[in-house]
Amino acid sequence: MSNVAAGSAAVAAGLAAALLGIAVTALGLVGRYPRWGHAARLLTYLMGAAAVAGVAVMERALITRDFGVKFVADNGSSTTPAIFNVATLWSALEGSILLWALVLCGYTVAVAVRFRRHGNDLMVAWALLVMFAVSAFFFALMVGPADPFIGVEVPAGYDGPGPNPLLQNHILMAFHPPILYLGYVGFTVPFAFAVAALATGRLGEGWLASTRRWTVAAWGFLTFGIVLGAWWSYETLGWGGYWAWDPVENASFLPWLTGTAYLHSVIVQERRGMLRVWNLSLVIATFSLTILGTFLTRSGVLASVHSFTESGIGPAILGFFAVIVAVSLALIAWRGDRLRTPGRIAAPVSREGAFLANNALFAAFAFVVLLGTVFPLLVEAFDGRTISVGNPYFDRMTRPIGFALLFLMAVAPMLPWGGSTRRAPTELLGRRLLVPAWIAAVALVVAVLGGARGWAALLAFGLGGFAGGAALRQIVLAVRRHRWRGLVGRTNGGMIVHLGVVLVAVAFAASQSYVRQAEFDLEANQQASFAGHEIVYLGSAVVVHENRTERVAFVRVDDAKTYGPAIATYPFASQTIGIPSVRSTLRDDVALAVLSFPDEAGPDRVILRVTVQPLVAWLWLGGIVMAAGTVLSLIPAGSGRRRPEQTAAPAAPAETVA
Amino acid sequence: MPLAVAVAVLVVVLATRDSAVERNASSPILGGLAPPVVGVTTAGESFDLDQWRGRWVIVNFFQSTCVPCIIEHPELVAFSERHAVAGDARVVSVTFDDTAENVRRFFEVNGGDWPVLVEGASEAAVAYGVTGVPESYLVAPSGVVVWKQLGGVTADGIDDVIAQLTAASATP
Amino acid sequence: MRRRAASWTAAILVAVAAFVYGAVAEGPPSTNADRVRALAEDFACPVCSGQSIAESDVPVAREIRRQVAVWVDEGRSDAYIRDQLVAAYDTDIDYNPSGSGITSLVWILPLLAGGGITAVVVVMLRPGRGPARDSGALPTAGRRRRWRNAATWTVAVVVVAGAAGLLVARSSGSRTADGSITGEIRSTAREKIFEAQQRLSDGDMAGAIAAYDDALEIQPSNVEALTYRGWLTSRQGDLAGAAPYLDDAVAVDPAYPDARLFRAIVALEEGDGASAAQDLAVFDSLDPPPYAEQLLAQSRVRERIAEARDAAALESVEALAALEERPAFGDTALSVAEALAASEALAGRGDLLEAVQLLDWVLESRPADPDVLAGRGWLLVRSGDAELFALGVHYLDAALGNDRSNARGLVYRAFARWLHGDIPGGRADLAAFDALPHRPPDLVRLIEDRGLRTALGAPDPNR
Repeated sequence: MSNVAAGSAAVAAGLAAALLGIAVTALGLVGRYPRWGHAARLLTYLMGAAAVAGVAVMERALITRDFGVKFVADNGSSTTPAIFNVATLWSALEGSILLWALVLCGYTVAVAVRFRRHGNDLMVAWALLVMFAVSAFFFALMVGPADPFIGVEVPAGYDGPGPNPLLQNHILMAFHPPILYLGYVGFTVPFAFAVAALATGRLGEGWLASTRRWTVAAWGFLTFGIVLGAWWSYETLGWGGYWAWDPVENASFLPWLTGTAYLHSVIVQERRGMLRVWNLSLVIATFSLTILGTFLTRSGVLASVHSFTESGIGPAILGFFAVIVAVSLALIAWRGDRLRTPGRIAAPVSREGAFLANNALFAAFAFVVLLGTVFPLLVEAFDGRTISVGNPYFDRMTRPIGFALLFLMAVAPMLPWGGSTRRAPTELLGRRLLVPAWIAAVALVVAVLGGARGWAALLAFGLGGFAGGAALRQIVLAVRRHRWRGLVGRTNGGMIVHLGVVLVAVAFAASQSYVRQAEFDLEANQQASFAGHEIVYLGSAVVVHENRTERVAFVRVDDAKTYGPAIATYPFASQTIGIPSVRSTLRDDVALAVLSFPDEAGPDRVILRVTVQPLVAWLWLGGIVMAAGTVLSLIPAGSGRRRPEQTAAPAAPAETVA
Repeated sequence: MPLAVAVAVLVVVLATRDSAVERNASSPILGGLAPPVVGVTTAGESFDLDQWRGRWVIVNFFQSTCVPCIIEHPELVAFSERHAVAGDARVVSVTFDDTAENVRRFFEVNGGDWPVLVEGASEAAVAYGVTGVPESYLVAPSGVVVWKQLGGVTADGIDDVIAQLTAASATP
Repeated sequence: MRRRAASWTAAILVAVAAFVYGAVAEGPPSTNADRVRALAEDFACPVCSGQSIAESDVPVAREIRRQVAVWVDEGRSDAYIRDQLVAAYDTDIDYNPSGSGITSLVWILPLLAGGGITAVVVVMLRPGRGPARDSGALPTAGRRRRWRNAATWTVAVVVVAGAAGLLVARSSGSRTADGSITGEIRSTAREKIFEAQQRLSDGDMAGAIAAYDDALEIQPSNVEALTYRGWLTSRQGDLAGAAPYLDDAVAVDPAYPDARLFRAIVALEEGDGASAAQDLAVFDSLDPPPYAEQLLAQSRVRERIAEARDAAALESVEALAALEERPAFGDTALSVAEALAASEALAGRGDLLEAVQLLDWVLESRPADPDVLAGRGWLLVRSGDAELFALGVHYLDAALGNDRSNARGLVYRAFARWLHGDIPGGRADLAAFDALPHRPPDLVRLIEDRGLRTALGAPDPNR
């Protein structure tokens, strides 16, 4: 059986299973099919198997270089190294939709398995219905406009161009997209349960408890995926940047912002029963934004390095987005009466007040990013002019929000819940924040002594010290009280995530504020010193790889190791690709990029761009700490100082009727 | 409700947008005074576009290694020769991200005896808003940039444009 | 308790001291390269979708970076660099949206949204004002008051946030430099000249003159402005006022064709044919643009110079004739060219005999001069009389016998042979003329004016 036939069959089977799943759950919901639960689970298995088969067939076609598959003929190459050959799947549109479908099916199967003991809970039926529907959409995309298994006749001896050179020169490319997709797609689960809660009218806290871990996991994947993406662009683009407010970066950042807001505001609903509409809106917004982001970047409407070439899926995705938003808003409007909040905020200076402020800031942050991303399109639509919105705008508008968030990160964990203590919150803060305040002061002194200047970066360092101190204090107290259990559970894991965020924020401020860059024209064995580093150009050599030819410049940094930034020529690419090399230490990074070898015939010369940036490595460390914190927060804290953390319990009907 | 309206507007706007790739960049310098082209040519002579006021001038940006530029070059030679006697149109080439040595070799191989700017080339390229090579601008005798071509030009194509513009300016 | 307060005070003091010192103290000097990089991040690479010119390494990004570096080295301001790039690449190269017009909304809307969110949060945080109470049945008056309160608050939030947004847009959004003080001298003078041209094409001569004056104020040695300022002055009838401008222009750039042409025309109008002829000679040696040639033809400069010269020559010949004892030609100051011109002038007014006699007088001193022989032949050939025609051809043969490559002889004999019906002979003479290294312009024009080439079916050497 050819790969085309097998793959098409797998996709068709997946679509059929998804449609059947919709039918089965729908019949179950109207009470016509009592055994829907069992059937739906079997269908999720079938759908999952179809997706796995589809991906397996595509990977087989890629690895065996079956150029009879159009996707392989367009994107594969006999010379692509093995690991990037596997990664070719997500280097172009059709394959990335296939990967998306696989991840989505994985989540659907997981939900079906996780909630299999919930008998005939209609909430689960609704959730599965939504997940089947979303899956059906993605399978339909692959049957229609984004078919990955189109057969094609190629002449004998044909070899494909391989993926875009930028996508096959760094190992991170093999991990960044799948992890990001695990994050994006993971938000389908809370979305499905939010819709289920609206549909069943069980709007209490049950659905939150059911999906909390799913949401945290998805958030963790998204976070780590974004950090890996930044890392990848830092390592491969060679200008010392890692975040450029590119539309695709923004598209991944938007659901992160709303998702982060939700992770915080959900606590208020659990404790106080407030913010029901808001939380539902955040879940819906997060999911919608993943779809909108997919549209923005996959339809070619916005130009981006990440965007794939044009395709016909734009209208389909946009329509899907519109349906999601319309259905969700209609459901919220329909359930408006039941969404009225029973609780209320007792005191403004309280934990719930801080969470509210936190959400306001995240909402404003997301608004700024969304507006900046789509604004050029709006202006063009209404005014006909073409404009760009980029770095200066986002820097200016998001910086104050970032400062405010850092401040809240320090203060909020110290605040008592409203009405939980008789003491004045200010006195509590005075006691609990003293150590963080000293840490902030010390951080500032150290920074100034280390040569840091400029108010913005210093403010970031000070607030970073404050917030980091607060997180550290909480962790230390928890570990003292509960030993290793003080590191796990939502609250403690959350504090570790906070610590990671502080690391990222400080590293971001330092590397953005104190970056130094220069271009050097060096002859062999010529030395240059820049920003406290000695750089010697030792000469160059041509290295021929199977899929590219590199001219490597050997550069010694600080009398230590020799680094090899290079310029690579790929047979199918119109221009050469620079391969930078970075000497990374905890103190600063020296990034080397070859701009050109100016004299082909003359003496060995190189134009070298040297970028020195402090603390860049801490960005990635911060990302790893955030990921670790997320994992720790998923481990049940067991008998903590508060009531045991609620594991996904069946929604108790009693608490859902308003 | 306002949220729903905002989302609806956004969807409509997004649905009606052309692809970013298809949006053609029209140049803001069209219709205005030609930006200066001043510098030193490969022959070591100083050049100033203003000295050619009163003639049609093709300002051609090129790179010696770019294949479309090599393909385009004979057309420029033909155009230059066609107007050599009448003296009513001329060509000036401006190098783009290139070295003087490469350019000299390029003209030795491909012919052409018009000035080729090497010094001051970056300034001219950025002033004209050049995005890639080859790219050509037609400057009218009045000194106004009247036409822009992304990619290769043809001698007949330029003459057509000149004829059209001459006819258009003669009719009113 | 007191110790805690003291500790807080100390911590805040230390933090604020460090912060203020670090914020105020001079940082390490930032180099031009650092400024280039910072600027490069603020501009979009025009062809590389979503990357700044700092990120991209495509040729255009490299060129723009290079030029930005040049500007930075020249000490240009950020606003200047931005204006230059936007003028060439349009507004979408600027990552910083403009703070005016519809684009300012991108700055204002977030503040409005922020204001709205803040208002909602504040309302929710007001103790005892939970939304739960909203549903309670309030008396109508109370409800109206609540509505009025809400409306007031909404307006206040919109006004405050909107004003803040405007401020942010003003301070952060990109602005266009409206005064062109930033521009360099050369480019602003160019712009003034361009303005003058446009005014001129609109028929606004006074405006054009004013614009040229502006250009000259910026750059007093601008040749183009000097030339056209002088020209326009002369078109207003002020020949004396025009001359200094044109003289200055020629002094600054002796090889500027327009200045030569205009000065020749002005000289002609002042009756100074000799100066005009000099300027025209220089003009001819230059590489004049087509419009200058057109103007030259339209205002019949060449003809008028020739007429003036002919008239002058005739005058001197007649002065000589009026003398009692006419000296030999060789003893006078007359040149052969002048004599020939005078004879043509005499022939032109019908005095063929006098013209022939004049040349005979010249031939007494210069019996073998081929030009004079040819001129004499040419007079006879045109007489219309068959005998004289034959004699004329004889003279032309004689001229060419003395100098086989005499230009006048060749052209005149070509005409003669054409009139005689000897087309191949005429064509041969014309071909010989065309082969000459130097062809006098008046003969070239004669051939063109009388359509000799077409009549003989001879090829045009220029085509």
